[in-house]
Amino acid sequence: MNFVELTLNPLDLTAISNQVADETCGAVSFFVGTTRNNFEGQQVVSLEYECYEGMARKVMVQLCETIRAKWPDVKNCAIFHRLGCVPVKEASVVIAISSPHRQTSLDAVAFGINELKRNVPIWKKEVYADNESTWKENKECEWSQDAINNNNKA
Amino acid sequence: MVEVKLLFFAKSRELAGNISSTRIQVPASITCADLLTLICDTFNLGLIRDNIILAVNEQYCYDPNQVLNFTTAGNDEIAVIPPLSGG
Repeated sequence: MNFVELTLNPLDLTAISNQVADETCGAVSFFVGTTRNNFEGQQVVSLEYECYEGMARKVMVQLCETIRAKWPDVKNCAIFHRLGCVPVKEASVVIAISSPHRQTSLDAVAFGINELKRNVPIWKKEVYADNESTWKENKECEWSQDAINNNNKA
Repeated sequence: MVEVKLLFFAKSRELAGNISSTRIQVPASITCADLLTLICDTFNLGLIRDNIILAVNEQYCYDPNQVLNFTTAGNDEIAVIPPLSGG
């Protein structure tokens, strides 16, 4: 099964684990992305997320299918993303995958988070202690300033 | 010209005057690059022109030379997509 969710509520790791775990599997691997309290010396208070909901959901389901095509022994695949304000230390994204043996689920969650950063239409703004804020850009995204600079160097 | 729905997200929404959604008239057939220029000129997005792409009906338009065709029904949806930052 695939489980894809975009929610304003805190992510419940135990509930997600229960959804993904399976009698035939010896492994559930998790990636949990959390709000870090600092960026280049500035104190970060929270991250504010928004998304293009219809498209984000569609691309997240496609990502589950891409993962299954690469690792056919994946049993269950969950991609959950929180929206709105996510305070320091709390989870904004969870990728959880079960498989009969651990190597598949470990590799698949690493691939999953990189792909999510590259092509799921979600955005975050970093909010600092002095009330300033910045829209972030994933280096994995092909039209980010970082990616364009690297391309020009190459 | 045909009418389409236009969506803004993140920095593009703020630069456009904090509107998330509007309707605009566009040529029924136009290249992706020309449409992006038209939108950037109309909605004050010149500053980030080189760092956005468009999505049409929930598909990214990676190729600037791609020709987009819109229907007269007004159901087509264009989204301005600044660099992604999910995760």
